[in-house]
Amino acid sequence: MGDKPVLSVFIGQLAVSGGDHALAVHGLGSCVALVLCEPRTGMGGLAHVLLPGSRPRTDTTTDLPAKYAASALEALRSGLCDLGAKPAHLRAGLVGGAKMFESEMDLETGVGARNVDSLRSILRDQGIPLATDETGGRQGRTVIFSLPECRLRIRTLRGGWTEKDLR
Amino acid sequence: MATFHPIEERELDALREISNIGAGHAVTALHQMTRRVITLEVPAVNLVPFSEVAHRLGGLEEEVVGLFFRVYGGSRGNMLVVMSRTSAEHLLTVLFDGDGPKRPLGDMEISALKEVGNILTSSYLTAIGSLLKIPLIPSIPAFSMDMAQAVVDLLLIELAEVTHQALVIQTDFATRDKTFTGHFCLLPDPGSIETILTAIDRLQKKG
Repeated sequence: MGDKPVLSVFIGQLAVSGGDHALAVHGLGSCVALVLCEPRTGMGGLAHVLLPGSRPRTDTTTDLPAKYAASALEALRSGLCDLGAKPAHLRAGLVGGAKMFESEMDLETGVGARNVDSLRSILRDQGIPLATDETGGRQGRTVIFSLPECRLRIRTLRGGWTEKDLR
Repeated sequence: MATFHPIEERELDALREISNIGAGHAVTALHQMTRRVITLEVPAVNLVPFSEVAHRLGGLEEEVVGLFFRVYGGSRGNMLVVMSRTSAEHLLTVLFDGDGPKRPLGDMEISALKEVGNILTSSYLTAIGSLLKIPLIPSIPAFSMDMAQAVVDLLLIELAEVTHQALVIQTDFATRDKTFTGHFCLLPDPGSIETILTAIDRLQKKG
């Protein structure tokens, strides 16, 4: 990691970097961190997604650009292409989408799993290979995406740190 | 897209007052269970961006126990009782008469925490409900122990479907020596806050 600047991406937000950044989400529950990168150049981005599908027309808010899966992917992809990345070279990773609460009655409605399914299917439709898929389960996760290495470091409170290489 | 209407200072005061009454009843129950003196902070009622909610619970990655309830009845929303892991363990030690809790927590400990959450939330909602004359009924509890941001994101996801800010009615409580601290957070649905404000108006006109 070194002393690379770590940029924290809050809920519903996204960030892209030309390299030499670490993008982080501290504490993902049912939300999903979608990361995209172009391994050749080390450019990448991260979106902190809340909801499956695409933005309905009735939702006119602009302060949460990564709120919906489809709009978040589109924004990341176009942000990276603006920096000069080639769509055909992009690789993706998904982290999060857990089920956080246990109860005798299911109060959660499975939104974590729906987020993951939605993002997987959009990535498949766009032909972007999913290099890392650390989703589901019953635990919160912190993720740090280091660029230009395109390396994901994922932390859980019980399991400690694991590393995934997207290249 | 529903939004929270701007809330007047007078209404924020009233929301602080009712959450103080609710939290007061809840900590009385907690005092009776634990024989510890528990004090309340002044309630904070704020319309905040989603990113700020977990910051107010001790930090994004702080390990917390979250007890989550849906609120049904005259006004809808979600209630979350949050305490740090060390506070939860302290509470269990007191409840189980000096025996420290197992690590990781077993079914018995989790069940005890859910039951405490249930009593606190029921006291809180019953006090507010009978004051405002609107029925407020909690669901059964759901339990999570993880990073604060991971525990609250479900509540934010649900709000995000209809709005882009969270109205957080938060009251913090603590024992005098701070070995045990926690937070009551009531997050009304945007469509439900009007019901509460109307009931408050009715009450104030009568008084």
